[in-house]
Amino acid sequence: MKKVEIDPITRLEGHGKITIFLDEKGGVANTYLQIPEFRGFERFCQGRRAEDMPQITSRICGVCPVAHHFAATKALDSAFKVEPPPAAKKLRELMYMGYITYDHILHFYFLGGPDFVVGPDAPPGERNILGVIQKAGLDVAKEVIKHRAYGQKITAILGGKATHPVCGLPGGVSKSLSEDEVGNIGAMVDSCRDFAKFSLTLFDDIVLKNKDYVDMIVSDPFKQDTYNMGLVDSENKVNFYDGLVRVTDQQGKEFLKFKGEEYSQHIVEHVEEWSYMKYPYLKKVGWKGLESGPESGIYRVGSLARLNAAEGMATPMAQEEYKRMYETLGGRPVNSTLAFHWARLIELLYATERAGELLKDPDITSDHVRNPVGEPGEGIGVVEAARGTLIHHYNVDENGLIEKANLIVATTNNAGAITMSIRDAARGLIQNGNVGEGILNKIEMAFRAYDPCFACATHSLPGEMPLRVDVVDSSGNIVKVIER
Amino acid sequence: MNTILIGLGNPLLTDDAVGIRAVRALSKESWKDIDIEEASVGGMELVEMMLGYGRAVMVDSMITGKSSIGAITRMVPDDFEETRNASNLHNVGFIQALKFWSSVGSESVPKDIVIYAMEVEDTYTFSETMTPGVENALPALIERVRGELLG
Repeated sequence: MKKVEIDPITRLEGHGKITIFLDEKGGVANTYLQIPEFRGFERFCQGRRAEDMPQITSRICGVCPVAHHFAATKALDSAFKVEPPPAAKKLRELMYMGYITYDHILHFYFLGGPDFVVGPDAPPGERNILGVIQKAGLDVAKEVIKHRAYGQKITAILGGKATHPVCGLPGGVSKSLSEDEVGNIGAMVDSCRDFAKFSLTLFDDIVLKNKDYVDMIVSDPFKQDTYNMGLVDSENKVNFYDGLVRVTDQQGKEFLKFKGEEYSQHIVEHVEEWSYMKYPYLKKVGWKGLESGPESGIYRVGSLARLNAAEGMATPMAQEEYKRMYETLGGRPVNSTLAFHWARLIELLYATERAGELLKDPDITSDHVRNPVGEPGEGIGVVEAARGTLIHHYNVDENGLIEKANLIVATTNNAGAITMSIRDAARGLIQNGNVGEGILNKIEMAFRAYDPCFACATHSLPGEMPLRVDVVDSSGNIVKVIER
Repeated sequence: MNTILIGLGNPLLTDDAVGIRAVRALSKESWKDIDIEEASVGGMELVEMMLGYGRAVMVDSMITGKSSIGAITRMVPDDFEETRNASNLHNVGFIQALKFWSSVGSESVPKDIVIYAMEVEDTYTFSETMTPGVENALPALIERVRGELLG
């Protein structure tokens, strides 16, 4: 059996490796994604003070510290049996909207953008943010910088620190918001909302008006007919910070709806002996291998999955865009992986609208931002990280110390679907042992759409490694290397 | 000329703490026109931290497998082979981020950028204790960076 290895994801940018196995006829037999596991998290947490968890877990990852911070804070609310006051919940959600704003802007323009704005078939050397600037113009680049910075400033004002927030406490937050700060944030939010609208127009002009792109978005290699999961509010609208976990089926109908605390009754993690990665699946459906369809318990999370798992957006302009996306792509659910990018922009618009609503809420400047905690016990917190559902689960002893800690992160929730997407993209491009030069990009596009984060420490040595494919024959000899 | 000294790493991942440990030690000394920061970020955020400074000095860990544990390498951005890869996962590479900021030109990217990296053993295990080889080599790293700052 030939083995094709793609190793783009070094220590420098995250951790992981893609391996493609070819069958005797030179077609793709199987594909897997290997992510080296961080060791000892549970032991590291044992015996630590529970209230340190929002800081510790936000340090796990340089990419989504805010999501970890609030999943941890909500798990502590639950462990200490305390309901935060309304103002605290709204302040947390407002900060969360800042995080979604900067995170989604970064992904669309810097990471997904090159594939679409510059084009999937453009030379690799141009498919980067510099290529995006060349095509979209320097003014757009300046707007990108400005609004990403606004998202970060909003997060910093509320969180105390931009990258590693310190505001979340069991039962509330450490700091209230002043009228001046409301004014400051409001001006930034208004500008971000305009920028979100602009981004959707840009997506229309560059992507949707280009038939080749649309054909690619809806093409079979980029489809996964899985279940979808996301948090929803009481009206089944998308919510990032709070609500119930809703799962919809291949027809878009509600399949499950449960409280975060009940996750272990519905989600099971499958272990393959060849991989450190765990593959979560829906218990009610069962594990049927890495397959799509109603018989397989694999589900997706993240922007498109959230939209599929909900019945709409809770803000007016985002709702209009939500309707338009489903009208354009043939109704809900949309299973085209590349539509994750579109969904991300709709969520960006939602986040800015929702932030505006929260700022107008009279509670937002209340001084009552924390309630006293009860006796410690078990706690579970669920939020929607930018890249999907994130679950923190702690057991806290009577002294307030961590006995047990378990996390299910968004990229783990998507592990099965990402693996299938890579496989299907590879199948479309590898026949009779011929590994086309375009394969790297198409496979990358398939997994980049999920905005995966294998990078629990993306900060490391500031370099980049070239993407590389090794074609290895059955004797283990490298017969071909594609590198760029 | 204002300088920013940035210790990079995750202080919770064994040897990944070495850059942060080095700058923490240096922050106890008195410096003129030098700001000292710790960071667990990469790419864009990292470049944004150094905008407006004339000089940036970073201290980080690395695992190349080509040097002995504790070996210290001094690098400048030109030493990094520019990737032709579009972009990786959820971050933008440091060099690409640097070029991005240089091309938009709205704020100043430091003219001098220097990176000190120590070859380490383990950055995958959650621990606040570094491995002995790295711990023993830490004073040498501090000395090298101190020399850079003074030089």
